[in-house]
Amino acid sequence: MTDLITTFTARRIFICVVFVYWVCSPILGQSSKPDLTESSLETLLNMEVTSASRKQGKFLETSAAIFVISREDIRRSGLTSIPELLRMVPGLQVAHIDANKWAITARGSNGRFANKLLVLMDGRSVYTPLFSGVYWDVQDVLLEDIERIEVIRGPGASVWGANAVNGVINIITRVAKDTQGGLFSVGAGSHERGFASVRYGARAGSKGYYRIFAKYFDRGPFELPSGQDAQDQWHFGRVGLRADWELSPEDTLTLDAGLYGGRAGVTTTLVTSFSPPFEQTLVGQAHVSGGHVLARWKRTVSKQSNFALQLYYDRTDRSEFIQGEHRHTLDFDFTQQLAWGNHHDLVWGLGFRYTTDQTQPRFFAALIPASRQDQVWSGFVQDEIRLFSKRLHLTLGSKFEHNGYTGFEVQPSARALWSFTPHHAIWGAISRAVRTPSRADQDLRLILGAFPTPTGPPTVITAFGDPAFRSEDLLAYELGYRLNPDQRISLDLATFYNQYDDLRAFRPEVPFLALDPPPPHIVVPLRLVNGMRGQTYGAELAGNLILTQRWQLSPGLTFVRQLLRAAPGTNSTLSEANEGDNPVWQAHMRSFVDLPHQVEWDLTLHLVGPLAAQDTPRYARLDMRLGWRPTETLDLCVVLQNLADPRHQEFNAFPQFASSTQVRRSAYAKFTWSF
Amino acid sequence: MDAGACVQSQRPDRPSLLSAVKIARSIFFLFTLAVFASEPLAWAQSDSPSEYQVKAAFLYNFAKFVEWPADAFPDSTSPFVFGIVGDDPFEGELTGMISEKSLGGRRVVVRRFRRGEDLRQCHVLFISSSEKKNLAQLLDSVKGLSILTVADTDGFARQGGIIGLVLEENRVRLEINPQAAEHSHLKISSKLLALARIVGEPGGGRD
Repeated sequence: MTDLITTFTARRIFICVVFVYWVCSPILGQSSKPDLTESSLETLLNMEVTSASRKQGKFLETSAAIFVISREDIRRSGLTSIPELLRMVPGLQVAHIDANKWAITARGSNGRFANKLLVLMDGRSVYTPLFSGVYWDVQDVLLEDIERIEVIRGPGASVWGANAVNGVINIITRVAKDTQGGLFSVGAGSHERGFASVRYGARAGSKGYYRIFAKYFDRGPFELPSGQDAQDQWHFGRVGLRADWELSPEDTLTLDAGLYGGRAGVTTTLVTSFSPPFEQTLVGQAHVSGGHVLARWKRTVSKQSNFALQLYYDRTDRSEFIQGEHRHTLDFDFTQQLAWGNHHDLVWGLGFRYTTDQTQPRFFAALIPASRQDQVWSGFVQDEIRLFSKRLHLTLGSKFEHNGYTGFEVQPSARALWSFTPHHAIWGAISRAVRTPSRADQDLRLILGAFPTPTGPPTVITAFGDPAFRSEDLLAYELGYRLNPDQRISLDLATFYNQYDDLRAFRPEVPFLALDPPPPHIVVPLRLVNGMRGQTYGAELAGNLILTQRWQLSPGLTFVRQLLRAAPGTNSTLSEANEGDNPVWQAHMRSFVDLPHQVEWDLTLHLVGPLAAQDTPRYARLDMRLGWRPTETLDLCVVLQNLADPRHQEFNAFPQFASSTQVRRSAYAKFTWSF
Repeated sequence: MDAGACVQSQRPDRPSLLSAVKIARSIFFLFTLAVFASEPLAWAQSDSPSEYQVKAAFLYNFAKFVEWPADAFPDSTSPFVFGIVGDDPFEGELTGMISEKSLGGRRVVVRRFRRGEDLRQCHVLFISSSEKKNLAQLLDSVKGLSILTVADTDGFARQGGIIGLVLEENRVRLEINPQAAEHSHLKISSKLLALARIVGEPGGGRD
């Protein structure tokens, strides 16, 4: 007993000492700012600098809830895919459904087919009009080539357009000039069974640079609750090219192209006939491939004006149990920036997108018609007004869009930011955004379940799209506060209150007898209608604390609550289930420690609350990375993931058309050589 | 790891919680140890400097490793002049960092210049990226003068400037054009040359 007390007290004292030391060290640090001019040339050459784009000014000047994942964040996370990287962003909900599928959203309404988040890669929308969501399995590049990932929570529709309802994710890769020379990396482990990538960059003529890359990975399966392999292993190959030319001091031309292909395993239980046993568990693979080519011309007309012209073509091919899809997209975009007077910064743009698809009907799911062409015309204008010696920023703007489903959509927004000292800023915004109908909302026929009745024909529950389906509507109120008292501490708080209307809900209709396909069966139709409204409110906190020159902490906190009400006449159980697909609370902590001899030791902890509507309990995810850079060109690291428990489930919602599988503990080692 | 997982699956709850606590505790312990062990003195230092703080330090250092001809200074009391032409990317910090220093017994002065102004009194001239379009014209105007031209625009040293500051992997790298230095009657020390990438103008023979 005495032993116990002594140990306890000793530990307490120890913790107190550590705490005091931690708290005091930043204060101690302020007194001695080294005189850089007295440093040797060698020291200066080796000194890592914070570049202008990460300057605190920018951080304080944005009147939206923005989080930027930097190159260093990516490297030190030890994560290997874009969806996994998004976990570090407070305010996003990221969950594995199975090894190759994710449910990702911001500010609520999560699911594999989460449809209120717009994702762009180097200006190319990777959002599919099929279900208004993102196929996360095919969104990839060489992670080393990513300059930054900007995540804006809340509506970004006034500039980005429809479907940027709950957020916009912008993945920006580095210009070819910054990725010159070679890079080779290879690794293997338990879940990451093997991966390799190679990149080479050189000059393209006297005025430009290019890089080419190829990457391949093979990831292992997760686990079924029974302990068996879930057969959701996947492998992907990808090649890409980027070139940038500075044609003249005013003109730059960018060319970006990529090709990918892969197989993703899936186990799913689906209705395959209207006679017993009705359902079958299918094990197989999704075959996916695609590619894109993009060209962008930017011209600086004068110090006050520049414009950009962008054209891209994108192709997606998927074939899986639930659907088959071939899609071609052609997109044209023009933006001009104009500074007029000392106070105005005007941006306007025009866009046109043409998309055509060819889908393959399956027994339980089909789109009618199987093929459809759509055109979207859009324009936007936004003015940023700086007043009171740039202390007050007002941003007013709107997007105007015409699409083939709902006609005209207007999405205005008003934002204001007030920096009352150089270190504090408060901002607020009111915006409207819409989620335009997807192909599925209007054209879907989907069998949700089939079962025998004691007498008579079997009953089949089928969801039907509705050609009259309108846009889902959001009116969002945001309020945020930023604090940046010195370079080492920053704090970013964002709160929001979202009012949704015309959300998608299921409305049961009069059952009818159908003869085809045989045997005769009773169809209980559920119509997709704009039959739900509701509120979401929450707060997101992101911090950054550089405690010492060698230790940095990045804490984060997410709180979101969703309240949905189905209109009378709709099936409220089915419709409102969505509100419980988000954890109410999430907490994040990332820690980066630089040890002597170029050794880095990084920890990430995520605590995720339970999903009330699902059988998904709370879980903790703990990752650890140990890295060593013996020279500037070599990087070795060992990464341990999901250390907190042997296995856990992250998502289990109906209908995701995949079995929810369990994430396992895993480890891998990686070697990177730049030359 | 896998064997452990099998045993635990029979008693699903407590053991996994316990092992999580254990892992968390040992990581915390290692963590504290690591943080304490890593050079406590380094604690008292600040965050990595900004890009232009480091570039400013370079400018000052260049002056120590370059020799100016005697006629570059009107008399023994005339100051050593650092000039910035175009928008000031240092946001005044260059002045703060070096204006109270001296070089070879001379007072250091930082001056801002507008394009077209007489640059003759300058010794080190930083050409801001805002002057990118007028680069050729600017370099022409200082031709033959003993002025060390420095800039961080792309390919500056190749286009006839003397020292280019290039940002690579968040570090500042140097590109030096020795021919340009020669034309300006400046002698760059071998030590500075050894730390830089040597470049030449197209058709200048050396690259």
